[in-house]
Amino acid sequence: MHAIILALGLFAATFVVHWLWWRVRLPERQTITLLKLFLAALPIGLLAAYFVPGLTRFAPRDLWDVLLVAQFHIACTLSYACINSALQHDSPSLMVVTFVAMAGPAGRSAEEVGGILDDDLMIRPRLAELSAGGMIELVEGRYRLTPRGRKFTARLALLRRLFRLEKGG
Amino acid sequence: MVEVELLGPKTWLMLAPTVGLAADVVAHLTVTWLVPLKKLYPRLLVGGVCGGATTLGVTLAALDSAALGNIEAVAFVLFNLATFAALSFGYFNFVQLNVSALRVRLLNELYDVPEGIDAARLTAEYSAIEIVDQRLRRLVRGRQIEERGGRYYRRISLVYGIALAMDAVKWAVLNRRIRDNFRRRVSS
Repeated sequence: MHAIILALGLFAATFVVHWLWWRVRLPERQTITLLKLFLAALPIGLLAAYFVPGLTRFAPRDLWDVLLVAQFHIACTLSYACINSALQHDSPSLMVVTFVAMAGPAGRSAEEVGGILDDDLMIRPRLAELSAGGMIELVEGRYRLTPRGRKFTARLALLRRLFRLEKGG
Repeated sequence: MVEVELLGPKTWLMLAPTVGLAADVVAHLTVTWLVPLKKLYPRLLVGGVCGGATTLGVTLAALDSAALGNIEAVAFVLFNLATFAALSFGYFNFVQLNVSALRVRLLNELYDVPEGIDAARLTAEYSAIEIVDQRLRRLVRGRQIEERGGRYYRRISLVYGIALAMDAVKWAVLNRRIRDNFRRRVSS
């Protein structure tokens, strides 16, 4: 039971640190910073449980306790990283539904929806993000994949075949 | 020296969510290749249910031979199911990223043209208008919004619920809301 309390407490404490940090100053590369913060919190939290008075009763008693805490923390970190990524870049479907809902009983025409959800909101931020992430580059007015982006996209194609998926978007 | 009992009840108690994730992946791939289910989400759902059941089964079997009180046993069941849910949610996102992410679609477009695509042509060919039209059609077909006389109306639906939940979390974490995108555009 102590390991469960440690795992829950550690993730909650890290989340509070993340929340305060993000409220004070938004990191430039949010996902990477978030992963570094949460993953660094794991060994720090485990060590704190052994050495900080008051926390020692929650200290792992064997390797399985350590792995139990680590498994929960890493699983929740990766899941939250997915959610946080979706918070940073609103999905087109959620934007469409929200924009339609904001109209109330009057509803929206396709032109109204298309008029507000334009390239500046949908396409250009994604291109800028892929560019900043080193996946694509703009050379003489043309976007093209970098070698890293090409390798990454080829791997995605393999996964798409494995999962029998259609092209995204 | 710390003694570690390999493959005892505690081992399986710890491993249950990971074993559940393995079952999730295997069931999802089995359904994908052997059952004529065209839609992705039912395939993922089958995987998730199999994985959850496996996690529960392994946890209960481990608890059967572990000397734990009732409260502790219930806590372990809930904890392992929560850990599995987090792992499964990660897998779900990993798979569906290939389907829904605009970024992936843009990468795919560029992969097919090694010499690159003119910036203006790229935004014109894969424009917001196309994305919005596609989304509107998909949302109406999936009964997530309603279309009457060429206008679109809100429906109480799963996607609307997700939009509200994401909006609340976005406000709590980033102090911004989805609707801020539109306010900025209207005011500029």
